[in-house]
Amino acid sequence: MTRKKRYRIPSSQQLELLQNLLDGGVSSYGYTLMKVTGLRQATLYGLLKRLYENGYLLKESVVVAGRCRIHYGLTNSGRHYAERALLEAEYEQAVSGPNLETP
Amino acid sequence: MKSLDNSASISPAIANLAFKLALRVAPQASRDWLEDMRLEAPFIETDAERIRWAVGALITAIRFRLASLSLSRPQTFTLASALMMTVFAVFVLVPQSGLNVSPVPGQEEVADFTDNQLEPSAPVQQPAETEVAAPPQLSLARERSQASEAAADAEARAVLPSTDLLESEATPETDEAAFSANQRKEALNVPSSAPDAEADALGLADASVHLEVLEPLTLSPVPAAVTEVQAGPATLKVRSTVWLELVEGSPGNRRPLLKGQVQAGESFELKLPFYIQTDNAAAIMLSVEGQRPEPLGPEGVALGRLFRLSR
Repeated sequence: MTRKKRYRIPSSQQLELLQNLLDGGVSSYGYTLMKVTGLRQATLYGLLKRLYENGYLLKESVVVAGRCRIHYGLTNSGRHYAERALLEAEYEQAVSGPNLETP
Repeated sequence: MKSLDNSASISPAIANLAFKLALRVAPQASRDWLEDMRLEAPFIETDAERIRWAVGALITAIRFRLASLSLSRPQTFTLASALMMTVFAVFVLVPQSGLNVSPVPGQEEVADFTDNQLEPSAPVQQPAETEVAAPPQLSLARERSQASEAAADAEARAVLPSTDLLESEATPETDEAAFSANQRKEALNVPSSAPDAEADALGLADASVHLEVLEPLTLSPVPAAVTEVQAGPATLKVRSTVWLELVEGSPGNRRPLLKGQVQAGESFELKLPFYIQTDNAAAIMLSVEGQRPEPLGPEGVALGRLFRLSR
């Protein structure tokens, strides 16, 4: 018997992170993401790791001032996921109700 | 000055030590994340922040390690078994053993009394028998019922004093109706801190009055949180075959309408608020509140959009 996987609304922290990753730009480095989102380091990297494992996150090595630095971005599916999650959150705020199922 | 120099030389060493430790603590699969953090460290401006970053990396490594603990390992298995047994004991065995705190005397009567006020279809949960503390409304009801009992006792006791009073103080033409409230109160010896008892003693209240007073205190169902959301006319027309998800909802009645491929030419009437998700925004023509239909977005763009009444 297979259990139906339900879509879960991401936490507010995750939404904050997704919003920043969607915006992209120079802020998508680990330290700057931590500063912008206000998340703790362990929380931030936990979320990044989960996104990466789900195929939503892209890691790029960028050379900045002669040093290597990791830049984070969303994949196409990650972008889709982030947009959906943010809209879902807005929807949840507008009308409280049960979670939706994944397509 | 010497200490400052020392701190300047010590801080990178501390940070390095923390990173080395973090790399050792972290599970193999998560080490690349710790490595990413180490690469990030040179871009942090101050030494204090860098040390904080390194300590954060160590905490992250510990978290990763804890998250990676497998049940197949003996220590983890023992810990998990103990935890499960504790949870089982607390939530299953204790309620079955009947070790519940008995309610305050008189509470059952009040609970029955309030249950009678429930409509069969009312979605209000009745208080369970194992409940430890009575809700404030029930406490209030209990106090009131006790007060009314005290008043009834006082009234019973007042039969003799009232006749004594009639004989000793009242003039022959004085009858009971002529007594003032204060005189009655004194005659009945009713405590001043019980207004309901006083009302009972005066014959102004009885048990049925208490019923009416208690009803709004105990069982008033909470109204729906959002009732202002009204249905608005919105028409959605599909121009070409597209994957579409439609969710329509009002509070407590949110329902997915559709999810899957939709053929060209199909149209839907939607009530606000609703949510649309599609893989080709241009294939969806949407008309809200009788306005001219417009495509949801550019050709080939997958998007989701929420429509609701402006607040």
